[in-house]
Amino acid sequence: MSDAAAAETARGESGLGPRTILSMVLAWLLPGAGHLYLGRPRRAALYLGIVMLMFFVGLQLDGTLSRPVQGRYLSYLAALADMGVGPLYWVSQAMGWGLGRVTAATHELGNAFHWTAGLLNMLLVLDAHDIAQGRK
Amino acid sequence: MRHFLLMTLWAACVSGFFASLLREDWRSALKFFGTLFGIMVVGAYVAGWVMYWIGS
Repeated sequence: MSDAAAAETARGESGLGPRTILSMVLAWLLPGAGHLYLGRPRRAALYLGIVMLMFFVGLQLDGTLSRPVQGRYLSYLAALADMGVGPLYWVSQAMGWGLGRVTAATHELGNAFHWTAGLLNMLLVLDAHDIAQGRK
Repeated sequence: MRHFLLMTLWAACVSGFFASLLREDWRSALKFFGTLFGIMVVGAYVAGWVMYWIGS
């Protein structure tokens, strides 16, 4: 357990102390930022590279950044997976990216890349939590 | 062919991610990456052939 994590635990903050929350928020805002904050720069760079690569390959493959559509329950899950990538999701929407082209041969592959990028970043948020808590 | 290459890229990204996430030292991470990558690529290839024969 790191010194900061030990101190947080000693203060009775084993649940969600400020360091843990900050690392999780940073991890969601920018893939790898939580790990950088927690002193793991190499892993942070790797995670940033992987998630960004998958996200932008998804855009290149004419994948759609999903939006929740009322009554279509799977669209909620798809949108949630896409939102896992952080503010980049909304930035891309604002820029008009990720509209997708359903007739493209690679459309579904693009969607798979987008969903995976978002879901992997969600795992990074959980991993940042575990590291901040001194469990890794 | 392009789909296979894209699937390979996807498998490489996911394998690299989980190898780094679940293994601490470099050597075991590399081994984990190779195993996971191999399972995904070979498994997808085999599944593709199975589906081809079922579909025909």
